[in-house]
Amino acid sequence: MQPVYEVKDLSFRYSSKKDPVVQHLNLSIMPGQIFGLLGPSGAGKSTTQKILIKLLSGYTGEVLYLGKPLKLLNQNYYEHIGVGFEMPVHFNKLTALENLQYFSSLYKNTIDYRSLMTKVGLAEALNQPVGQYSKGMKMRLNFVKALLNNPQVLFLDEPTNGLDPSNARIIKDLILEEKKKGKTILITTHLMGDVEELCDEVAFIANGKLLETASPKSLKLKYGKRNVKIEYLENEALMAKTFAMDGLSQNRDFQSILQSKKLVTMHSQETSLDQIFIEITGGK
Amino acid sequence: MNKFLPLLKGEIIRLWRYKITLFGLLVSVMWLLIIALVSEQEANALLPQLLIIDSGLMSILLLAASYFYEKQEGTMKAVLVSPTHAGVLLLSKVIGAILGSFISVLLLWLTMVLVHQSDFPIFGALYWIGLTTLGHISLGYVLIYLSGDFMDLLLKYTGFALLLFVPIILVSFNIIPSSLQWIANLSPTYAGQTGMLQLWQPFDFIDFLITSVLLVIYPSVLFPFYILPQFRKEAIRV
Repeated sequence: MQPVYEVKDLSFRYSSKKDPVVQHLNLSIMPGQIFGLLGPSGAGKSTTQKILIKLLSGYTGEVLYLGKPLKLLNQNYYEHIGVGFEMPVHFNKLTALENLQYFSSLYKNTIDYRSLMTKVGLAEALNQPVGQYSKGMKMRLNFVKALLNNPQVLFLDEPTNGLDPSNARIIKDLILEEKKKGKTILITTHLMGDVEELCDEVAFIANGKLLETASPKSLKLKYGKRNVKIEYLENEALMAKTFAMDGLSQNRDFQSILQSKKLVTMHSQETSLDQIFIEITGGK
Repeated sequence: MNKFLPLLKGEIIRLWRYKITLFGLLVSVMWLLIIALVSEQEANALLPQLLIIDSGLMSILLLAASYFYEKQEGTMKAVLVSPTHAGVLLLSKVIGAILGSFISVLLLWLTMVLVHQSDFPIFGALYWIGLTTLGHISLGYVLIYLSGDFMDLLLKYTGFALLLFVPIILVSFNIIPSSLQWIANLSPTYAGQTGMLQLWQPFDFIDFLITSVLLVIYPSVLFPFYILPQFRKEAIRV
């Protein structure tokens, strides 16, 4: 299957800086995949995204979109992609409807944004100036705007940033809905919960270099320390011990505690993606 | 170019809703009152200066206010990730600003007709105002890109406006010899005023051509080689 994006030996340096922000990056993003671009602040994620959305040029290496060099694509490329920036960008003195009408007028084909506004819970606020919106409402409008042209590829930068759990749920469900339609989604985020729930594959970037690419599940298997932690009472005192999950049924110490002590709690301890993030990116 | 009309429409709506057009109109009303309260002869003498101040110096201020609003909201970046060329987006902003200047011309023309039962060649005035606004906008963008924010721009603008007016003062008071008066045309404010004054004089094609060329020199150099590349760079940086 042909990748949607193929990034080969990509390097980029801002003219104002001495060191490259992105160094010899290699990535493949497959169709229908939700791909997470992760890393600490200043790692080069946003720069990579800006290159993929053709906001930045002057890079070395090659970026292919559906097999064609990105550099050779014209403005029509933007009919295929939708971009949701981290900071919601709207005309604050215009209403949400006016914002959507304006941006819709720039595309050949657009979706029924009124029904999407209903889905994200903003139907009532359609005629309200965006400047009166809360941050969460602006984020949801940002998401609707990214979907305006029914893009085949969706770039979302911190899509649930600033949203309460119920609104974040709505956005995550909509992202999964877009995936079901076969769309390719590239997410940049710091929220490992979102990554675990949404991403098929993640790439960790630090200091402009690609450190690891894998699915969240395989990362957990690779970096995971499968432990069981038990708390029990011994002479009225609360004690705790951690055991490796492998070979647990043969562990005499563990068996003995189960048989002779009063258990208070027992939890499996999988390594979280947060811990993996810290480990891979060097604790930054 | 097929995105030009939606962009221009959006720009006109934005300028109105951000009260930039309204502010421009209020300034025009001030000129209008001056013209209405003086005699016809005085009005005719004042008109070229008022029109040039409005289309030249006011257009820079209004453009800057609009630009810094947009910079604050980061919306240019959002437009650049749509199937639109940065050049077409910039053109919509330039035309939007020129249309704002045209409103003032039309209001002043109407005032002359209604109050003094006199008029001036409206199409000629629109021509010179269009070119003068274009010339000033090109310098306005340079000023904008050299300023960090609107307050910074206002400070720089004060010195800049003075610089544009110096040639007019020097020529008016005959401080520079007539052989060197062509240097004054380097100021688009002076060149614009020269063009406007031609409307009250018999038509001279050579004067018309020279003044027109002088007014398009700055935009034709600055827009492709400095403003457009910088426009894109600044939009992405936001």
